[in-house]
Order: sequence, then C-alpha cells, then structure tokens
Amino acid sequence: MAIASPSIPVRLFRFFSGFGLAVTCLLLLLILTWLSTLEQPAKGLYEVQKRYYDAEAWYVVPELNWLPKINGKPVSLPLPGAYLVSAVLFVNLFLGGIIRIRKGWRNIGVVISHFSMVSLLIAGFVSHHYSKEGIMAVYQGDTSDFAQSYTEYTIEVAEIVNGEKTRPYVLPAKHLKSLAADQSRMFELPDLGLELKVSGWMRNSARVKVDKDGANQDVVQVDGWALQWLETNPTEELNLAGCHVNVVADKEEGKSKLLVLHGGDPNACTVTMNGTVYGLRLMREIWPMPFQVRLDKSIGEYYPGTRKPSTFQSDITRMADGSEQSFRIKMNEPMRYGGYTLYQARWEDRGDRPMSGFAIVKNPSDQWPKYSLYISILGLTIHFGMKLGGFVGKSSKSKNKDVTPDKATA
Amino acid sequence: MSKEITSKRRSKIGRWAAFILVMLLLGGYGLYTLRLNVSSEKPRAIEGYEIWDAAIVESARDVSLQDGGRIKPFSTWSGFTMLKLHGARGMRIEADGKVAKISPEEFMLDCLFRPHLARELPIFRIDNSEVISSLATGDLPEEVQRLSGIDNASKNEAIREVVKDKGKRDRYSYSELEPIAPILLARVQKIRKDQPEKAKMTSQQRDTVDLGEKIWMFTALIYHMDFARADIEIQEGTPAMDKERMRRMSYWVRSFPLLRKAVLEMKPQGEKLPAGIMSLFSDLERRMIRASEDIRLLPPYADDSEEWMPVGKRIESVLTGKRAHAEALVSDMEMMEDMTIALRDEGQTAFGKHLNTWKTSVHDRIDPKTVSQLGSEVAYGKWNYFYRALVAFIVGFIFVMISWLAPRSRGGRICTTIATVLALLSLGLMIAGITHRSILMERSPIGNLYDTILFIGATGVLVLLLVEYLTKRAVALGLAVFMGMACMFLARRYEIGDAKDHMDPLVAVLKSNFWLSTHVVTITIGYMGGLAAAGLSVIYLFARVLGIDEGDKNFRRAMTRIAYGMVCFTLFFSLIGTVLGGIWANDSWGRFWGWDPKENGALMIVLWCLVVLHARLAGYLREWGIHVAAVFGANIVAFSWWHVNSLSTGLHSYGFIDGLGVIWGFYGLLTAVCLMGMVCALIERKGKKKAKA
Repeated sequence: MAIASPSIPVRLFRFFSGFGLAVTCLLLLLILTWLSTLEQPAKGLYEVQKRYYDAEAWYVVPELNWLPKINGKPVSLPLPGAYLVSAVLFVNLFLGGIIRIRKGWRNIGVVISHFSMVSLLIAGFVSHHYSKEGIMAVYQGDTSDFAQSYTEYTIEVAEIVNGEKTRPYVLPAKHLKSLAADQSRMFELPDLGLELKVSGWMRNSARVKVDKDGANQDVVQVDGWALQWLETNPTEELNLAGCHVNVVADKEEGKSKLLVLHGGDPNACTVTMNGTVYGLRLMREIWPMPFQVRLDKSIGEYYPGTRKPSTFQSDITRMADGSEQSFRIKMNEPMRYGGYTLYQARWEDRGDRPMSGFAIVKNPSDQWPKYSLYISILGLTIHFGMKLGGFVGKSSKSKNKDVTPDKATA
Repeated sequence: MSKEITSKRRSKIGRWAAFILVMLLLGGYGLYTLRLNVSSEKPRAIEGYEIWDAAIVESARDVSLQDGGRIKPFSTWSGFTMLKLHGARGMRIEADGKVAKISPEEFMLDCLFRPHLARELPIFRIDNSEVISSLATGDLPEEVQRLSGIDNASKNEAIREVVKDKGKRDRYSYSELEPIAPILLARVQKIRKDQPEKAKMTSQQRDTVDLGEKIWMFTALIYHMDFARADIEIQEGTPAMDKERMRRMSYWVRSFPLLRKAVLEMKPQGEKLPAGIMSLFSDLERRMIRASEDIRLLPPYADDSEEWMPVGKRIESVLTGKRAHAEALVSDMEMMEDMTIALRDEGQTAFGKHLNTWKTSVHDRIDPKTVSQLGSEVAYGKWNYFYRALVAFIVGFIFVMISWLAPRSRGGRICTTIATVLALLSLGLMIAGITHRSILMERSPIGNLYDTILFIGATGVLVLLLVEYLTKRAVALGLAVFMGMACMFLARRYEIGDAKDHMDPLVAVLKSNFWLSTHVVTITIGYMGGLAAAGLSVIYLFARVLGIDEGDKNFRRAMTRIAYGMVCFTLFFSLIGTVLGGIWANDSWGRFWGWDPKENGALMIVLWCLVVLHARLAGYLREWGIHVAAVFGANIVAFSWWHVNSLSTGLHSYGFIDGLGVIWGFYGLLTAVCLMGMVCALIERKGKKKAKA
C-alpha cells in the first residue's frame, strides 16, 4: 500500500519547523555577525547596523576586500539581511521548538529554553521598532525637558516674531536621511504658507567660504557660503549633515530663496518672505520629555594621579505633575520613570560648571530580556542537568562494569 | 587475531608518532621563545658595581608610592617598570668578577640612587638593529642640531659608532645610546606627527617609537632624584652660613621667601642679578622639572586630595604660594637627601637605615589597612603562584606524555598518578593566586584580559579534572595539564608584552562587583568550555587518525559524549553570560544589545553551539562531524576572546591589544586539524562504501 505524500501545508509546516531551516538560520546569523564585526572598524557601528541589521536591509553584500580578488574584482557574496533571517528563525523556533517538539518531561527544559528565546526575539523586535534613544545634556543648576538624537537630523522651521522663535514645525528625519545627494524632496507647510525643497543632502559636510575669484565657483553658494562634501566618519555622532533648502513663499509668483543649512551651525538661518521672518535650522532631532530634570549636583572623579574615571554621578530632581523627587543617577544605576530610563552617559567639567550627559531611552521591552534570562536559566538547567545526571550515572555504571585498568585507553 | 595485533602495533606507532610530534612542536616553540627572550650574550661587566645588600632590597620592597591610580609597593612598580624597559624581570651582569642577577628592586634603586651605574646596565633590548641604523636617513631638524650639537655630518658617525660590534638583536645601556638619543627622539616626534595612531605605524616605526618612549622613561627615572643629591654648586664668593646645608635643595625651598624678597629688593633698583644667583636659580629649576615627572613618592599632606604628587610638582606648588606645606615638604626632602648622602658618603648600611626611616614615615601617614595590603602584595609577588604553577604543569605534562606511551604498564600508571598530583598542586597554586589577587584588588577575579587567562586556566583545569574523575581515561587529565600549561604560558607572555600592572583599578563603568562576578565570570567560563571541548576533540581526532584508539568504539563513544557535553556546557554559560551582559549594558549604556564587537563575539559562540546541537539532533553531524565542529569552535572562541580586542572599536575597551600573529597561528593550526578530520572522515566513508560493495 503506497503511503500518501503529505499535503502542501504539512510540507510547509515541516519545512518551517525543521532542523534544516534552524541550522541554516543559525549559520547565516553567525556569518552575518562575524562579517559585520570585521566591517566595524572601517565603516563604523551605525553604518554596519544599517547595512546588516535594519528591517529595510533585506539583503547585504558584505565587503570582502580581505579575500583574494577574482579577475581583479573583489568577491561579491550577497547574503540575506539579519532581520529577515531572525524573522525566519523566530517562525522556525515557534513552530519547531514549541509547537512541533515532542512534549514530555524529557523535553520540558528544551521547550522552556525555546520559549525564552522566542520572548527574547520578541523583545528585540519591539526594541528595534519602538525604542527611542537620545541624549540630554544638562549643566549643574540647569533644568531640561528634552532629549536630542545622537544621529538623526531634522529641519526646524519657525516664524520669528520680535526676535523670538514661535511654535516650530519639523521636517521628519526619515524623509531627510533617505535623500541621495542628487535627489530633492518637497515639503509643504500650509500653516506657514511655505514650501520647502530640500536638495543636495550630505551626510557629512563642512560649511566653507567661497573665494570670489578662486575655484569652486560652480558650487551652490549663498552669501559666499557653500557646503563641502566630507567622507563619512565611522562614528556617526561626529558627522555634520548639510543640505540646500529652497524656500518658496508664493508658487505662482515664483518667490523663493535658497539657503545653505549645516548641522554644525548653532543658529538658525533666517529668511524674509512677504514681510515675515522665518528661521530654518538643520539640527539633531529633539523630542520632549513628560518630565523635567534639574541637575543639582554633578560629580566626576578620577583615580588619583590619572585620567581614569572612577565615579560619575548626578544628583537630580525630577519634576512631574507638580511634584518633585530627588534621585541619584550613577554608572550602572539609572533612573526609570514613566517608561523612560535615564543613564549617566557623559561627564564634563570644562569651565565654571560641570555637565552631565544623560542617555535617555524609551524602550517598551526594557526589562523583557531579564525575564527571558530567568526562563532560559530554568530551561537550560533542567535540560542539561538531566543530561549531566544521565552522563554521570552511565559513567559510574560503565566504570563498575567494564573499565578496568587493563582496558583503560589513553 | 592478526587484525588485533596489527591494530595494537599501529596504536603503538601512533603513540610514538604523537609523542614525537607534540615534543617537536612544544620544543620548537620553546626554543623559539628562548631565542626571543634569552640573550646568549655574556653578562656585561659593570665597573665599580656593588651588589645591593639583601636586607636593603628586602626593606625596599614595601616602600609605598602611588602609580596607576592606587598605592602600591615599590616591588610591584619596579617589576612592571623593568618589564617595560627590559622585557624581563631580571638582568644578569658581572660585578667584581662575579655573575649576579639584578632584581627589579635593585634596578630601581640603581636608577634612583646610583644613576651613574644604572646608565651602564644593558637595559634596552633592541630586536632589530635596523631601528638604530635607519636613523641615518633624513636630515636632523635645525632646532635639534642646535640644541644637541649634532649636525647632519656627525650624525651618521654617531649612529655607526653605536651599532659597531653589536648584533642584530642585542642589549644596550643608556650610556651607549645617549649619543644618539636626540636623533632618536627627533625621529619619534616626526613619526608621531605623520601617523599619530600606533596601530597604523609600520613595525619599524613602532619599534622606533617604543625605543624612544623607553629612553624617555629611563631618563625620567635616573634624573628624578637629582633634587635629593645634595650637590648644588655654591659659587665662590657666595656668603655661606652653612655650605653643607646650602648644597641641599631643601635649604633653598625653606629659605625661598627670603631669597625672593632679596631678589625683589634688588630688581627695582635695576641691579642685574649676580651670575652666581642666576646659575643657582637655573640649577634649582632644572632639578625641580626633573623631579616633576610622573613618579609619585610623596603622600598627600593635610587638607590635600588623595593624590600623591611628584616631588617637583610639590616644590612648584610650595614655591608658587602654598607655603602651608613648606615644612612638611622640606622634612620629606631632607629624609630623601639623607638617603642619597648616606649612600654616597657612608655606604649601604647607612643608606638602609635612612631608607627605613623614610618608609616608616610614609607608612605612618597612610591608612594601616593599605600598609598591610602593601605587605600582602609583596608576598603575592614573592609567591609567584603562576610561575610555579607553570613549572609544575610542564613537569606534569611530560609525565602525562610518557604515560600515554604505555598506559597499561605499571610505569604508565605511576606517571599518571604523578601527573594528577602535579595537576592538583598547580590548580591549588592557581586558585590561591587568583584569590590573593582578588583580595588585593577588592573585586571579582576578572576585570581585564590578563585576569581572563588566569581564570580560564584555573577553571579549565578544575573542570577537566572532574571529567577525568568521572571517566578515568587519562585523556581529560592530559588536556587539563596542557590547558593549564598553555594558559600560564600565555599569561606570562601577555604580561611581558603588555608590561602593565593588571591590578590597577577599573574604570567607572566596570566598577560593579555584581556584574563582574556574574556576567564576566559566566562568559569567561563559556570561553573555557569552548576551548576544552576543542582540546578533547583534537585528542579524539589524532587518536583516531593515528590509530591510537585501536578502533575501540567505547572510547570513541565516550569521547564524543564528553566533547558534546562540553559544547552543551559552553552553550549554557555563554548564553547566560551573553544575556547577563545585555542586561548589564541595559543598565549602564541604555541598550540591551549594541552590536559591539565583544558582544558579537559572545553571540557567535552561542550561535555556533546551537548549530552543533541542532545539527547533531538532525543527524547532520555524527562522531567525526561533532569533533571537527568542536575544534572549529575554538576558532570562534579565539575570535571572541582575543581577536575583537585588536579591532580598536567598541565600548569594551579594557582589553585592546596590538598584533595578531599568534591568533592567526592558532586559527591556522586548528583549521588544519579540522581539515585533517574532514579528509579522514571522507576517506573512511569511502572505504566503508567500498567494503559494503
């Protein structure tokens, strides 16, 4: 009697829950992790993360310059992106490691371990998509209520009334950083009655004075200033973005004004359109906090006679909902409040007052890895404990039975 | 019957082949290391050198000073300084017709108190004389020519004179290198200007910069105590109340306000300062600058911070207004002057007395707990736990090797017993050493790369001895002894190469005994597990390939079970260690995972173990496969443990290293073993297929 071949859904289930897929995914992740580590010194962490681990990175072509060239060309080996591989692994882990696995006391440890890994992957997914991080720099005695991104640039546009900035409008970072140098993008700000055309985006740049009679007369320049493209720094935080913005006030009349914006410029560029003054500034993305932080005392200590830090700590007052509460934040001891976590990340004392830099993270899955760890310790201890017990039992049995000194083998 | 005899014969040949191979490999590497580190040169005769009295050396050991952010004994500081300058903690010389070994304490006493003799000691090891010869290329900057009196014409002659009669690898004294020191330092300056990052320099540039740094460090040592030499020249005609006291710098520090007043009174009247006074001022200033180098012998005074200051800096602070410390400083300076005068005028016995006075005076000013720790640290140095463990491991390994030649004989069993005793003894020494270090450092045993080597060695030996206890096959015992020996050897090589005191305090972010004891310890045990698994599998592969196992299926099964068990052990600790690391990172840097190279390395170990486990469950890996995979796993451990430290990127900056030669050698060796295993597995499979057909 012929055995009926399994149906397509069954075959698919077997494939997605099988060991073959598990081993393939794990090997791919291993290779991707290894290659991305090797690329880090030259490309920097930010770029490597983007290339290998971002959700948008469906595939990656690793730089294998250290391999011998073939016909004078470097080896090209496209690999699936780590996010995609992790997603497939998640499916495999869930179907194979939790659903399909033979249930029973012998496998209880394995099931628990798989469950912990599933929860760890979910934590990673949530963190990847929903966490936000930035830095809040506060001088001793000052109060702050916002954090600034380490890497993402936005363009802030505001009307200036009597020299004061009014409510600002922000062009989102994701629409700017995706711009190539030869691309442009239009942004409409109907409340301000403006249209902005952003072009010539540079990830790292310098603002340079253009010599009237010198070279580089063909570059885009405004009031004798132009942007100079610079090689991207592997440390993304050090890159200063730059772009050209054409401010259009009246499309029909064609009233427009070109500006050169640079990330290193602490002041806004102003432009007057139809008698109204607008300020535009290219700056790192800012996000407001639901509470204020006052830095009461900032302490940084070094080991005597060295520049090796021994302690960085900050005494702060957190002000929210009309109440005040004091905290001490130090290395390895952050403050958690309202879904936000504040870490002592920097300390400087250049002048009259010391400054504390707090890394601020909003991560819904903040503590999930900890719970996953507890579960995985439980699972692995049960499983390997049973295995070890079995091994010790077998060893002592075989010792009694057949391993006499004469048969011992070195 | 004849098959059994053939198999036994093959096994015997295999054992001898393995024995010879291992001996050749280890012997070859040992000879290579000896050639690199031991000079065949006859001990240099140093004229007028008087060996330091043993009591003085003993007394000097726990003289306290501050270095690397902590208070440490003179012996520790001297040891690491000598290691940095000389590449060894001892030097043989010929003094008064006899060969003597100079210890770090003696070397440092020479530098500080007998600089004229220290200059003659062959302290600088130059591995490639090209470093000196290459100085002949290029012109000297005009500024250097003017200050040193060496012009481009005389430069080459000076260089030729230095390398004359010297080998490619040789030892040099400062007095031999002094004539070309300005040329060398100018070249170092140029190299640094062209390439500030040492990692990107060529090896010759790096050697040149290293030599320049050593020369700079040595001169700082030999000139440091100039303030205490009590040999200030008093010009003829200077009104001198007490000429002897006036030759001491302490006299001038005490009377500085009077001197200043006198000078100020002269100046408004437009009088030019007498030449004698001008010369005195410049002499005092020179001594003060020389004593300002980073050698911190003076404990803090009242209302000071915890910082010990170099004498020169303290003099400067007193002269520029902090008179409240003047008396205390003068008193300290006088004690130091008394030491140098006693040595110069009365000899070592008197010097010893003054040295003890100084030591007691400093100890009285510091916390008694610190004083007792100084004594404990001196004892730690004297015990030399890890060197003794290395010696015991080497002897133990020889016994293991002999026992493997004839395991069933009585002699073989005796050798196994001796090796077991030696392994236990070494393990005891390692545990004692690590515990002693932890007590001294007041932290968990692992805080830097050096600590990890010791810990991996100790835990590796412990775990493998437990495996040996369960299996009684002398295999895990052999590996335990080898692993202990390799780790102690590596620790020694790393300490010599790095020449840094690894007991210095940790940076702020690492100051967490909880995380150091959990995350760092577990992850390091994971590294150990990966290496032990690889070691067991290497033995399996060679035993099978060389026919040592006589085709014993029980042995093969047992070995596979043990190796697989070690892979599970590695997974358990690496996974928990990695997640713990993430939780720590979440608490200190605000993210669970940051794709930092060190984190990636740990993840790679976890992933590899998972690959092996799942591939075995799926039947993709059987006996050969598991062992080949376990051996390959050691490459991943090496990448995570060592290689990532050379990438000079990431937040785990406590263990950055230069150079990867040994790691590449390790990769090459293990990959070759993997290939051997794979080829043999294929041949065996083909043979079986043929036999079936």
